Amino acid sequence: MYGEGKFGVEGGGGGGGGRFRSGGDRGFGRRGFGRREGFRREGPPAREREAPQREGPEEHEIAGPHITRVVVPGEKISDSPRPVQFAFVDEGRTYSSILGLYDESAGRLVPLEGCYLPALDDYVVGVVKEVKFSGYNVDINSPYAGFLSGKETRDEFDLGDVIYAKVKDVDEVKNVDLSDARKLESGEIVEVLSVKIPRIIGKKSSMISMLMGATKSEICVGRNGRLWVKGGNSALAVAAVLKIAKEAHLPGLTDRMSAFLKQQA
Amino acid sequence: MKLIVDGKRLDGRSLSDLRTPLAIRAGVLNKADGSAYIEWGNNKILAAVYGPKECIPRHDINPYKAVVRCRYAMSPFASFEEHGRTGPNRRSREISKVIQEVFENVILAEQFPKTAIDIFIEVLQADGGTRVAGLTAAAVALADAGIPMKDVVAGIAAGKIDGQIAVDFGKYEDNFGESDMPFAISLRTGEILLFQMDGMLTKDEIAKAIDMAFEGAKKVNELQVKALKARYVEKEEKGAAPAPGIPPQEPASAEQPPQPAEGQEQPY
Repeated sequence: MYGEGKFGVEGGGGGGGGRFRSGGDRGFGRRGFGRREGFRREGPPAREREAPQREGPEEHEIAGPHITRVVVPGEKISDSPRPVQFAFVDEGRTYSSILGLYDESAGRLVPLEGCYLPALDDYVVGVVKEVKFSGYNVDINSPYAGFLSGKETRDEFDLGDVIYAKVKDVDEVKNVDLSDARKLESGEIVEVLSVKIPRIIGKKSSMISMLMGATKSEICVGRNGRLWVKGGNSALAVAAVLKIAKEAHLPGLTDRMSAFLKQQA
Repeated sequence: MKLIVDGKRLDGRSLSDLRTPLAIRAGVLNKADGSAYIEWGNNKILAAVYGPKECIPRHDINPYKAVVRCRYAMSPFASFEEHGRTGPNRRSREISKVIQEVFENVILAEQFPKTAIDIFIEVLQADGGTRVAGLTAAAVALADAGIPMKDVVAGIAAGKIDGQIAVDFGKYEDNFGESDMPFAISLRTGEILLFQMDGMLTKDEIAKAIDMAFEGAKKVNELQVKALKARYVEKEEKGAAPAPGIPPQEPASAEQPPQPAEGQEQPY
């Protein structure tokens, strides 16, 4: 669908992110960004009604130099059993289950790829794909569709409307309930891998604030990998978002982005 | 037909050498969630992964885990004969099934209930050993899609040609040899996930072939891991020559901002 460009055989360096405009009149939008993301709890099913603990600082928040390396599924990350998210323990050793970045000093494994799994209290940018009597089925860029009950919102939405909503509940069988929805009028949507969103938000929202300050655009960040951008220098905002997503795994990104924004402004 | 002369095979290899070129590249398809392209000898095979995604048809849905589906197919122009004949046949259905079972056993499917993970293996050019090359590429494509697995599974074939145990057979060695055994191996645990056999061997010969298969699988797995990591390391290894037909890998460069190609339209 509207995918981020990946490296193609022709060798053109990616970055052609899908964009689509949401229709509708000009309207007011309230500022908001996606909630800052720490760990999402995974593992055995059920108990997702508990708020998942957002443990641990972001990789870039840990003081001092830290060595990260790319790991693949099945690659050993520790000779002792350690509770690392996205890793599994087999016969007393810990192995990565995904293609990701492993930070030895923090003991953190961050995926480099993967789909969006909805989690409680995430804010997401969704598209209404079905209008039912009791509510709306919403595409949230995930294998699991979201449902927005009519009782959860005062506004009415149409098929194809773009909304910014909160994940109210994810049950044991991954039914997703949304709430607090508001329509996003005009502007454009950028889609990146959802695993890159924490880097786009940055430590204490530093990265996204820098983007909004430099471009004067309104940006709503969806934890599901979609961002809504409107106004200001939106083309630069979109280019910056795609650049962060492409280089999220490389160090020194904050400084590079700062230079990029200054140069392009 | 003699397959070994003076200790060398038809293409000059020794009994334990793998074919060349043997190169894998990850992330070659823009639209797929994960993809890989492999050249193994004269085989050229593309693998694509879509998922986890909504499982359609609904009656296939498993409420406890993702269903893993695999389609292996040869393109109409893949082999020297039978151009134009296309579509699933007995052989491709069998290969689809055995490869599906390999990945059902390594993917951590419980993390994605009610979804489907679709694996597509398309053989563009065939020269013996396409199922092992295909599953090798598919394993890379699955990791490239971010799907959690217990290991990156490597494929390799071993068997007997002209009375000698050897690994990795081309088309003629496959057709005129005494035995061919494709394997899928998880090197982390030493488990075998696919094991088929044509022909006849003694128990000792099988044991020797399994040993040689594990040796070969190590080399294949190194290339799989290299292909996955190549997308994310900043500098390429000096002197690493890309295989012919595969353009050099472009890792994410810190310098250039991503620009769409000239004239390319942004899809709306």
